[in-house]
Amino acid sequence: MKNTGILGFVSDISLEARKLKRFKRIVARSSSNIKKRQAERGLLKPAPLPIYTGNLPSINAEMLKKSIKFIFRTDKEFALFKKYFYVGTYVDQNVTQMDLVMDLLEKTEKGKFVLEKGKVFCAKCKLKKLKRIKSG
Amino acid sequence: MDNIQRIKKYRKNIAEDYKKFLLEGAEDKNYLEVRSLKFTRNPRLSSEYTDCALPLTFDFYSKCSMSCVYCFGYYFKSSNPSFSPEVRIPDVKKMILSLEGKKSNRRHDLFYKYFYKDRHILHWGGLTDPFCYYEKVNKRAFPLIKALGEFSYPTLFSFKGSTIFDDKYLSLFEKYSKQKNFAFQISIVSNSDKMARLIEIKVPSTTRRFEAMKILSNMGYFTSLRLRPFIIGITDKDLDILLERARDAGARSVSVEFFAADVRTSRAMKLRYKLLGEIIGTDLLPYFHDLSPSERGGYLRLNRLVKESYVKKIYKFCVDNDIIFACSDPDFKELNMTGCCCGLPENSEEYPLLNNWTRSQITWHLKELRREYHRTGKRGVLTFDKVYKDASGYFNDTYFSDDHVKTVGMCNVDRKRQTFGNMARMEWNNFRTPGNPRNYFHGKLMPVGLTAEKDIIYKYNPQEWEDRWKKEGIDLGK
Repeated sequence: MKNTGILGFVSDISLEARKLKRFKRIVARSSSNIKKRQAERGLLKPAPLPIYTGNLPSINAEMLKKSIKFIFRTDKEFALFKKYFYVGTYVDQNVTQMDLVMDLLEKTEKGKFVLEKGKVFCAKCKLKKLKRIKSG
Repeated sequence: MDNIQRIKKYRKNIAEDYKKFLLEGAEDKNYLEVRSLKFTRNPRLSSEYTDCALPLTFDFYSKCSMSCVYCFGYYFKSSNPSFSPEVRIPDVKKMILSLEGKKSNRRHDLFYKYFYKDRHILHWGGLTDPFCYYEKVNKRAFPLIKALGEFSYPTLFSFKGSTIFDDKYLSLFEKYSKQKNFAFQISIVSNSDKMARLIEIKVPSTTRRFEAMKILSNMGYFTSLRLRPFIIGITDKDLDILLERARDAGARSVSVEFFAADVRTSRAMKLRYKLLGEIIGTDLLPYFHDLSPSERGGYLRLNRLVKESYVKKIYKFCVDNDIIFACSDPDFKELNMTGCCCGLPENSEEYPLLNNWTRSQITWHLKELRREYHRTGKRGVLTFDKVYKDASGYFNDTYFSDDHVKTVGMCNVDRKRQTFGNMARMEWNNFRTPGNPRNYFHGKLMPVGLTAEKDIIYKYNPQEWEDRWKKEGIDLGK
């Protein structure tokens, strides 16, 4: 293929047609599968694509599209959050919503809630459930 | 040992190997009986959704009793360490409830919300055959087929199994034939019964499959020839006769996709490649390796030049016989006469229920670009938002992240945040992935710049073969 600039890539017109013509001549002379496959491997290899040299999506743009980030007000808040959640990538969150999350985590610390596998249980209900399972 | 003896030996080993695969997790004597109480996660979303018109895909039995040497489903399952050895089926009761719009479980409720409510076509037969011997023995899919008939729900069956010949099933399809909600795509890859027997073990003959096509066409159903995979060295023999037989059996469309070999082969797959190599006349993997573009990664699909003469023959036949040409292969996909590469019609008045597949995928747009170019001379462009703007809600729902094959290996927090839309966008913009449009269609769509949202813009790239075909008088504007 020839690179004719950023707007178009035109294949080399004579080369593909010549390759096919030669291939068809070989195939016409022999109907053997082995000969056909040999001719294909010899003549019909793919040409590599031209390299794109234009602007690429920025890494930041990619990160913004797929990443989400929480903003913590203090190191203490961050440490508490990290205790219960795997810290990967998070979205910019409204601080008032962060209050709800931090409130939940503080109550977990005090034993009012149980956080397990990303789900929140009331500590009392969970204890009752555990007792029921133990008693059979 | 000569060629024929080797072929027989490989075939025997493949059949024994496959029997062991079926026996895993089953009782020896009644290995076809379904005993598991666990359900599969079917229906599911197709991992090929970026260029697939039928993202809602469905398999009933987790295994297939037939052993086709080229089977992609077997390759996929035998290479998957989390694949359960016992045969399982979906929860039919819950599925029927959700088809009716009644509350079921979360997964089925979401399928109702994104697909059933709009009566989006259900594609039955992605990785296992709906009418293989598992169905013959168990008949567990029958109530679901009956429910689909009662709801007149549009369903495409891709099959080659013979259970469909049982009176029970034929009567059912006869009963609902006036609704025309069912469509049938019959897989046939060789004109010769003898050749078919070599590479399709425990599968009805080509002749028998054409009989099935004829019966269903005569009932008034939309039938299609599924020429997938097209194996060079096997399918090309007597291809003209094969196409004529399909036309005479009432096929309304032909869907073609060429056989691809994966470099990540297991011992079992290597045996299959050996058998195919003996028949087609060369060592399979080196042949595919030499002729496949490196930009497409380890799933080796050969290249356009190798496939051109066969595609031309099929396309010309379809044009001359007023049959829909459909191509699921990334090479020549632009030649599709419909935006559904399974060959379903676009705006059929005779089969209105079969028009309901998604246009928010690359196949539709690529076909439109080709038409536009050959009718007006204009080279159109594609942006991510243009292709996927009307994608169904599942596209942005994080619930389905586990359905996507690319989330395997991601950490939990990243996986749970993924959507099909995110992953499609990442592929769209990353030239290192084989699924990127530039790489996947190998130059048919070329990058020309960025949108304001920093997504790549692709432009239709006319190629040399199009000039040659036009000079031969082939209409490329269809």
